[in-house]
Amino acid sequence: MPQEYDLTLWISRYDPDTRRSWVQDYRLQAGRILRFVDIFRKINDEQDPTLAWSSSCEHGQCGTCGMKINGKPLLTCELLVENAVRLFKTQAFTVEPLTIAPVIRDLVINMEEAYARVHSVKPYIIQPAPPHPEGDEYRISPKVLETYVDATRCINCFCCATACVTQKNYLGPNAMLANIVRLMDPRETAKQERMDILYSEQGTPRCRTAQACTFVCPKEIDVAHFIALAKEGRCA
Amino acid sequence: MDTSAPRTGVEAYLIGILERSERVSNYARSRGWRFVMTWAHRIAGGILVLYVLFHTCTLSALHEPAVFASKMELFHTFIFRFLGWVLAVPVIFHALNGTRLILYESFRVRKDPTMIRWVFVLGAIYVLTLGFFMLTGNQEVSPCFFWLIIAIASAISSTILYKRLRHTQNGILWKLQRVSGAFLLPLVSGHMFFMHLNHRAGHDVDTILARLSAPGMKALDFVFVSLVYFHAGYGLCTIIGDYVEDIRIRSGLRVLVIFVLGAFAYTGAKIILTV
Repeated sequence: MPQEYDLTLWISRYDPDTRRSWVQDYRLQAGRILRFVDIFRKINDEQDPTLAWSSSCEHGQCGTCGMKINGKPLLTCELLVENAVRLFKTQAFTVEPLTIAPVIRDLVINMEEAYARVHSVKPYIIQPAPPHPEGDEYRISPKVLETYVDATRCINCFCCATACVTQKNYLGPNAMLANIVRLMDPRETAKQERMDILYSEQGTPRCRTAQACTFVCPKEIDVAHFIALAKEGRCA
Repeated sequence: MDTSAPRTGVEAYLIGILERSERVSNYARSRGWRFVMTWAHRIAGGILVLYVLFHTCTLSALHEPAVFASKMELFHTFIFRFLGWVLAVPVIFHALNGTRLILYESFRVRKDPTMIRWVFVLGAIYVLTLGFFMLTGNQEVSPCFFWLIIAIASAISSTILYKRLRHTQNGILWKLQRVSGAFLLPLVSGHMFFMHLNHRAGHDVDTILARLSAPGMKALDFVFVSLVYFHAGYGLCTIIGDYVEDIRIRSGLRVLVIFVLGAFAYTGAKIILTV
């Protein structure tokens, strides 16, 4: 396995001042365990300080650095160069922003707009159940928790929503998951309100069970499984 | 169907062929094979809609048996017989892949890679068997027995699914799309099989007219046509909804689809009821 790779990156650029879009290519050498966010930083340092991209935690917890690499939506803080070369069988990569919201600049999208879908499903307990009579905390049995705990790992990186077959008039897999996880949560009592959102025209009828959401999820959540549970009527 | 999963034999060969297409290969790598299957399902559905429209037009000549018989001469040529056989591919793929989706969504069958293999294995068996009967063309089955079995199979599959869906809060049209799919699975695959299994049934105008005059067949064909057009119309409206954001354009396109398919469904039903 080579220690360094000669990479070619075709990066989508967008200048909001001139409203010009173009693809710029960068050639650089990179070590095999560099991540793509490290490569972007290297480009900023060595070649082009104007390239805009976004990241925060850089260890797969915040979902800020989601991008499309050779068409696949993923977290660039988790993608090592050697893994990318193995996955795509090439050392040349297209880098594009996620398609879920308008681009602000280069690889940075308007996350506020992307989050509007998640906010529309009320990602919080709308009407909490009364606390346990023997204490202040509400107790959830491990057996119940096990049925939906995987879904709670979603970080709203929007990779699933970008990969989804349905791009219009749909809440998107992660927003659906945010609703389903609270529907399965015994602390939530506003079940009917959640059901109304779930089965609305922008909800389950728009899912095609293509399972691209499951395929791309960086947190390895079987998103399609949870949406199928909703269709089956087994998540309330 | 994870792209990184090792494959052997026929499967590896077929995947190799598919991956020669850059577009298919890119989608398989970036979204998974099931995403590609969804697109194949849509394309197969689109082909079937076009064929159903064409089929209805052809059958509308049944009011004038002599004209119909002369038109049928064209379909006896080798190229049309070959196309008739090729049509079995989208028919059986759409039917079996739809079954896979119903099993995933409503019966919690999550072994998708296995299910996808079954879609292709059963599909290949169906297409090859159909081809065999088309070549031999000397089979005879009792229409009454054949259609009774098919009607029972359709009733059972749709009832099982209906029972599964009836208490869910999914929309009524969404449920009907699934139930109609379950009903059509035996009916469409059986219909195609019957036309070639029983050689005269699909080619001789007198046999067709005699079959259509039976009350039981009239009822079954009427249900068949109604469900096929509903299934096709709902499918097309769904695709429009997936891509057209502007509500006025979306509604306009949906009205157009309903109008066109409704007119064809009316024509089809009229042939069945009046011939």
